[in-house]
Amino acid sequence: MLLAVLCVTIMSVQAKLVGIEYHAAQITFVRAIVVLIFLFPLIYKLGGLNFLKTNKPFCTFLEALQV
Amino acid sequence: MFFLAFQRLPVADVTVISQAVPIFASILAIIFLKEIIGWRRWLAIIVGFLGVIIAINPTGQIAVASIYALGGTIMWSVTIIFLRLLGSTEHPVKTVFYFMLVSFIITFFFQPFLWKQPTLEVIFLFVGIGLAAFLTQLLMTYALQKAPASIVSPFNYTGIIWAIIFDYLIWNSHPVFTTILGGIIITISGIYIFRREAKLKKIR
Repeated sequence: MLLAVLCVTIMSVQAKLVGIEYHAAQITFVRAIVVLIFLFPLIYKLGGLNFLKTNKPFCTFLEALQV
Repeated sequence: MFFLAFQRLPVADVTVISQAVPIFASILAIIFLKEIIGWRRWLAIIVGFLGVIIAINPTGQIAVASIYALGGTIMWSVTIIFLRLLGSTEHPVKTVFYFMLVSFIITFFFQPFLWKQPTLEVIFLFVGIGLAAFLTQLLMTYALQKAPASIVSPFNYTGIIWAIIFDYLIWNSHPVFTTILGGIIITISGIYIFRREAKLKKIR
């Protein structure tokens, strides 16, 4: 958990450094691409498209909207 | 919201305000999850709110950036409520995937109007942001699998210390007294809420 919190802070610091010149929406956009790229091998290992099926689509969508 | 706040405020200030998540999540849990909260947790919520006010409004003029940080904190609390609803059935990787997918789709439509070609240095920072976000999710999931949330979650508050260190090292900025005081109050009330919730879970 300590490492996770350190990672959050490092992300915040990097976002602040980039945020001087780049819009928050661009930072969010690129962050999403990078995280999705890192997630794909994990998702593939966990079962691919079948793994992504959700029992609570509406709730999942609302949660994701908090972006 | 947090990214907007980081553009305008020191990292430590945003981090202090963001620590109010358990306080807002407790209130949202009462409204949406119909959780019953006793007087002890109510008192912790009220004290926590005082901490937030002290942290964001030191001179009577609330900065717009603080409102961004507060908005981000409330949205994060809403996410916590949805995670509680989803948590029992959905895998954390799936939750992160959909969060990032929606994030990608929504922000994609803004890019033609605001995209600025990044330099090589900025590309490294962008990848760093994504990598840090990915590692955060993995490490938090791993931590929560290994130990109860009531033990693990209070470590979130160490973020304030990290943020103060980075603010000082990179921008030579020190937090003002009211930010520290607000941070201490928010931390104490947040830890109390975690502990109390854990105790009640054991009793049930």
